[in-house]
Amino acid sequence: MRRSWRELRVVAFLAAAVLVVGVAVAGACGVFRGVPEHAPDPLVDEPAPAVSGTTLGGRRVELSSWSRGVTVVNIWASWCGPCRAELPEIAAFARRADDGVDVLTIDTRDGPAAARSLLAEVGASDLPVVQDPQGRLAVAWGATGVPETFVVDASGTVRARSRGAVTQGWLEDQVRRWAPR
Amino acid sequence: MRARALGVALVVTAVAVLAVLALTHGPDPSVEQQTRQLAGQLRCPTCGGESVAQSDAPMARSMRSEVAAQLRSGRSADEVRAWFRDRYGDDVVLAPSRDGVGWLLWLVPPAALVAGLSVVLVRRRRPSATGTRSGRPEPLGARTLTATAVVVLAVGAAVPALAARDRPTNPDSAAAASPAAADPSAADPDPATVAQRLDDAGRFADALGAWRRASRAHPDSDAVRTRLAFDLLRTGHAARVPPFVRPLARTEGSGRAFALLVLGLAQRDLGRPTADATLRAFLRADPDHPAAAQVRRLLAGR
Repeated sequence: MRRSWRELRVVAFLAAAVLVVGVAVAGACGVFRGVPEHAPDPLVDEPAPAVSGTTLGGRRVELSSWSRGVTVVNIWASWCGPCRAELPEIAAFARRADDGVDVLTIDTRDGPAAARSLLAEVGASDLPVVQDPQGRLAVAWGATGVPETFVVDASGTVRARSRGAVTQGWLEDQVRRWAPR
Repeated sequence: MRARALGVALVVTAVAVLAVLALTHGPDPSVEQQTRQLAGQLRCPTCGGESVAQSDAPMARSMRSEVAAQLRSGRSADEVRAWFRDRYGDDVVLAPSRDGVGWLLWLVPPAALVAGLSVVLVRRRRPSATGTRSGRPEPLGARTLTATAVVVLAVGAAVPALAARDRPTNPDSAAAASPAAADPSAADPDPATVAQRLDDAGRFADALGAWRRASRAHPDSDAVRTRLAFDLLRTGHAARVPPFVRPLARTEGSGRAFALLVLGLAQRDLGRPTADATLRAFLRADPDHPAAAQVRRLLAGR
């Protein structure tokens, strides 16, 4: 009886040890972690994903070559508060940008009526907007929320990314940095 | 005693075999089931520990759409996971991969269990060299226990260390690229940006405070007022919603549709008879709104 009791303790000990290993393994896998603090950005310095869709004006866009110069890709939505403040900045930047700079925006998980209405309200109706009703384009760009902005250089490589609203100053700095010399 | 040990071993083996078969050779699930399963293995990037299947954040919904579309196009679950890793990094997958050190993470727990059971079974079946007077096996000694504990704990400590070493890190580019990833309120002083990030992360109560601050910073912003009202609704304060959105719902501005939606949902929560009319007005104002389909179902009583 005493021996069985001891062996039961051994089994209990081993079960506890397995539990410890399991918890350690789960910790190593990040099961208990939220968003990693210092994860490298997987898209920066990688080829830019293609943008394919229909603009608000009904024109088909297939953008897979990035040969002209620097391209700014901005992801937004009319239901996003910060986008309302950011869109005029991007529109002003697009109007003032040199020939070698393209601006393309992706309106994600949104309706065309709401998008048009917001663009008109903030004076940004001239921005090129590709519709992304299911959010698939935003996911293809690895977006984690809106707004997000990406800077693509002439070789088609993503060079910078900003989560949250950007300013004209930030955009100008990025273009200066990545424009072909 | 030997028969009992054999029986235990058979049961353990049978359970293990059945578990492996269930995991690898179950009936082919539908695309919806596969989507749910795969979305459950992907981390929502803004929701601190929630999977894409659990979260209602807009980006999680977009990720679910992408998973479903890729599965429908015939891609395998492994290919879909790899596609998401390319865009969101290794951390987007909640389960460890079977590449590199990942196989070790899968192997260690069952290996530790099998090793432990084997030790016990062998000791029970074979009398020890020193033996006891009755010829029955001695219980495991302190030395065996200590050795096992050291091995198990060493493996337990080594695996996370190996996994951490295996995971690429680049703090410099991360700091430049993702200043606000860890804490939505850390990097951006604009309370509207902070509030939006908290909303995206599903932290509606925290977002409510941030929207209040945003409302003080942007007192004329209809969008901020509507978002504040929406979070009041989502945190169970429907009665306080109408004063925030009713003025905007009566205008023709761009935010009218969303204001009507928030107002209609609040009225519905409060049992007001005007709720359905408000929600119908929302559908007329923006029939393509992402919430339109859900509102139509709500009005149809489904």
